[in-house]
Amino acid sequence: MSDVGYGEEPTQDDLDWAEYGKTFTPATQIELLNATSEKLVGRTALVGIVLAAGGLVAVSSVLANSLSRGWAIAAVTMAGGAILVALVTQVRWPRKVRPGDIHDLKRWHADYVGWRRTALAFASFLLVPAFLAAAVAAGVALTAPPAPPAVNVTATTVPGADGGAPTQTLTGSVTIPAQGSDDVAEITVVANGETVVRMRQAASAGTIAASFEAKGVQTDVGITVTATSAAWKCVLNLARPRGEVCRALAAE
Amino acid sequence: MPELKLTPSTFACRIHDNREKLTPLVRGAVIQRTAAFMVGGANDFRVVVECPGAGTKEDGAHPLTFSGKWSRE
Ligand SMILES: [Zn+2]
Repeated sequence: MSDVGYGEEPTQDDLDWAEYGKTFTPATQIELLNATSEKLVGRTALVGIVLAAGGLVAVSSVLANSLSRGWAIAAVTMAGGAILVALVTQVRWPRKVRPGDIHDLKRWHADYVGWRRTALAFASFLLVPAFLAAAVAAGVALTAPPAPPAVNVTATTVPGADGGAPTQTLTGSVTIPAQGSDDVAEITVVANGETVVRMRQAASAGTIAASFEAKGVQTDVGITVTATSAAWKCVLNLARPRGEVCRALAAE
Repeated sequence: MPELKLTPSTFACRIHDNREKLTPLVRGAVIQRTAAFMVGGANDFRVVVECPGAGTKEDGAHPLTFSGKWSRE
């Protein structure tokens, strides 16, 4: 019979790999599973960093755009699913094992390793589309046109103390897309010719967002909110809040 | 575990007449399976086993590399 394979002198590479092969013991398989599970839980946090494009976009602006919101929800759902699966693999049911009996030890090991291996493979696979969806969401939010500027103000009447005349409390907000990171909006609220709010708000994550409150304002007076940034001027008259509130300033 | 067919089917040392011992050692090394994350597989093998040698102090065990192909019967 000529069907014989003769052994050769092993190369150093053969010996090195044979040595590595010996590390595939039942104990290292369990260590590998536990390490994989812990890494998965740690890495899902990176999906959030991708979602915010490393801080370039605010999560609020990712959620403001309906397209990027869909991708963000998909990313968070998949990352959450991966965390859930990884956490489930960390659950240990109590069981008695007889370590002196190789049969029993093998059965215990097969039970421990079996489904965890499949579950962790699935969870680590899930992180890949989660990252992609997060990147798409951040990309859509970065390239989408910014939300139009908006000014809102609400007046609440407060009864006067000791039978005095009632007053009103004004609360409001201003949101203006920023023209660069050093853009600043000047916001004033004028009631009956008197300035009751004057503030400056700097841009943050591509948006100038401010909220204000003025108490003790006389009732039945004209109220005007003015907000001016580098690119926009908004004027809201509370008596007639309809019409174009904000207009783009001509580029100089 | 279905029977694996190895090609070649017998494994020997050029110095020692140990094929009855070496063949099951190679077979054992090839069919040993363990759980791991998947990266792919192929049907060629290369294993390192110990040839027991002549069993004397001067002519003792030494490692040998065997290679071939496996298939399921
Ligand atoms: Zn030999």
